[in-house]
Amino acid sequence: MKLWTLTLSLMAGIKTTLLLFLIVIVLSLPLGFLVTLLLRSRNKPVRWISTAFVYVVRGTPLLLQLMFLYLGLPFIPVIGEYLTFSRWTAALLGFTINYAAYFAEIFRGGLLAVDKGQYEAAQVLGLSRRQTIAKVVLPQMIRVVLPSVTNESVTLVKDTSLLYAVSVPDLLHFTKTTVSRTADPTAFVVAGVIYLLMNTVLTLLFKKLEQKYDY
Amino acid sequence: MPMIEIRQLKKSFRSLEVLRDISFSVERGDVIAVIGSSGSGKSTLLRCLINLESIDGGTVLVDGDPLIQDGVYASPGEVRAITMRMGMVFQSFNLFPHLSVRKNLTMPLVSVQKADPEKADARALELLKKVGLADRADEMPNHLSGGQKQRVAIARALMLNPEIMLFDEPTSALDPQLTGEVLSVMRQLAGEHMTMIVVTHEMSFARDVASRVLYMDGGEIVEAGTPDEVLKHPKNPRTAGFLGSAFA
Amino acid sequence: MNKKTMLTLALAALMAASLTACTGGQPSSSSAAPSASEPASVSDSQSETPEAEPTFVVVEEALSPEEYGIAFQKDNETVHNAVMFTLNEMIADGTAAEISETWFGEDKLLAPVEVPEAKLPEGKTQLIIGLDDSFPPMGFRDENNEIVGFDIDLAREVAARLGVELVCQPIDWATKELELENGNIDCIWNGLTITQERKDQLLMSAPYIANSQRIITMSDSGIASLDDIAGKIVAVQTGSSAEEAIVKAPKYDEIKELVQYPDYVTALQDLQTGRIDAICIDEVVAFYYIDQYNKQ
Repeated sequence: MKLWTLTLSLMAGIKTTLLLFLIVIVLSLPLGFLVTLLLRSRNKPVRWISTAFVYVVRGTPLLLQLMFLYLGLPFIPVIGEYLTFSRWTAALLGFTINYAAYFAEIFRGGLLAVDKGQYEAAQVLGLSRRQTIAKVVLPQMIRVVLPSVTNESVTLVKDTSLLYAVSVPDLLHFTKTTVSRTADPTAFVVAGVIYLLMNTVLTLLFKKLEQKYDY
Repeated sequence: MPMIEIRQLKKSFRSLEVLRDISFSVERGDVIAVIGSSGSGKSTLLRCLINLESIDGGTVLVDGDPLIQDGVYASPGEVRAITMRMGMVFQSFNLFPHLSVRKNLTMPLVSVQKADPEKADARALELLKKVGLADRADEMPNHLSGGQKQRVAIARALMLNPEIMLFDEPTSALDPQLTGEVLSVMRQLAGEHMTMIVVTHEMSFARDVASRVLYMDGGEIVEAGTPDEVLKHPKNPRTAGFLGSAFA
Repeated sequence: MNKKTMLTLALAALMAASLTACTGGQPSSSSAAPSASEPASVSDSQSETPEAEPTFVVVEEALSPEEYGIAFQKDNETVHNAVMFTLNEMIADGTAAEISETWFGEDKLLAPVEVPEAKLPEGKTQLIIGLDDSFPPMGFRDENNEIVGFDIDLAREVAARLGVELVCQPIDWATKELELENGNIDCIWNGLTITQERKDQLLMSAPYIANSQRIITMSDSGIASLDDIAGKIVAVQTGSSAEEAIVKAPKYDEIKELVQYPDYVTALQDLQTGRIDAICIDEVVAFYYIDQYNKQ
């Protein structure tokens, strides 16, 4: 009974955490793939800029990026007032950009694993660049990157606790408020089990996907 | 008009000249065997013809249409139209591992030429029957032997109804006991008067099936002629040397 | 099901089991209802039988006295005056005293300092207060996740009298000054101790209630006065005004170690298990927690 009461007081946080996770996954996977293509672009400036983007985003803490987007940008002279994001916008932006950079690197590795002969076969069979990517390269890349993507997604579930940097209360935050109200750390254990359950479901889903892409 | 006419074709990788002044022509229904040691430029020649490598100079006419004329390429659309008249079989098969045998054959036809999926499927089964693999249509490529993979690759190339088939060392990646099944499919194609250029180390195939044999060395065609002329009575000592070591 | 899946599920089951075990013995009381009960004092506990479980006690003697104020944007006199004028009215007509009675069992409000009458700027429909929503009893979340507390009740009444909606915005305490400066919140109203640094940086109101830093310890710790902290391990919350207060304590130089905690609940747990001997903490918070523990 008590556990159920505790879980209920965490419910709002669970919703926030799940919502952020879903939106960020849906946005950052395609964005990450786009960055991967830019990283391999034949245009030098494009390649240079996308490489720098990945370098900076992967080389700085997500917490810092969130604080920069939410608290830092409004202080930029002149354009600052147009870069004043709401808490949620800043959070979604920060998480999506950060995870896109990580996914881009994972996808880059996945593309390297696709044999050069596959591109050649696609070309002599008349497939366009776009068709080659969609019909030949992507399905093979997905199989290679799925384990790493699973790993990164599990990390994302846990990283949602950084939401509090921009004062969006998430699961861990509601856990803290519950603990400080009840003066009883049981809520921490409840939160641990909830995170674990979310990641168990996620891992099982990705396992299914892995089986689907197995050949 | 020759099916393929090549004049003074040149190709270098940076400062290394891999093809110098290659000229020859292929008549409709010809089976050309290109032999030579590795590094002689024979695979590059094949890859240049189907635009997997860029040509630096010379002329290539396919059925009179220029792929490249005096070092100037035709428009991308024309290049594509010309290369689509050729099919290519690779040494390492290059089947799509994520697609079943059947889908390997139908996907290009359905997605590129917007062919009716049912008609494509019927055509795929017909070609699989021809290469003796109708019963493996729903297997994944990784479950096939090397010889079977290469036969599927040949069937896949035939799906687009090419007028010319290019074979790049089609049996070099196979165990010796598996080369026979691939060569017999190629023999069958030759018997149907398909125009073929075959880069190969299989001297028996060159001797028995080819209408002409080209011996390449150092980026040049050293000797060309009927199998009898080139293989049995080589005029050039380099050809003789190669054949001596090849048969040793 | 493969081995990995089995292992994951087994682990989840294990955690669930340990959860049940660690809560099984306790009565299911986690009420956050305001309470007026007095904390046990040191002299009370000494009269108990030696076999009794040690309990939390608050040392009578207080460290430096301090005052809570409300912080506004440095140049925003208008909002400051509007809020403080209304708060002063509430102190004058007894409304504020009633709120204080509910939360503390006494009227803790200080005599108002006069400010010019002012209204909120035209078109303003909300009063947004920034707070750390894990700071009972000033501002925290009840069982329904609603933000409640002494400061919240005061602010709600102020907003009602000004004819605007009260919005309670939980913020990361570490970046509260930036939130205020960016205009994301109108004020910080959450048991904010008035310090010289904050006066320089923000527009601090006159004090509205008094607070002091106190020492919480266990009844068997042998700490009965401030001087007894010599040789003991003392804890404070990171970045709290308790940290400044303990440094000024007469026997500070003689304490064994000063430990910093991110939150008081963890510190109280460690006090129970004996890892630390005393916690220096805001008086209002200390009484709230002791009350909670006594109910368990």
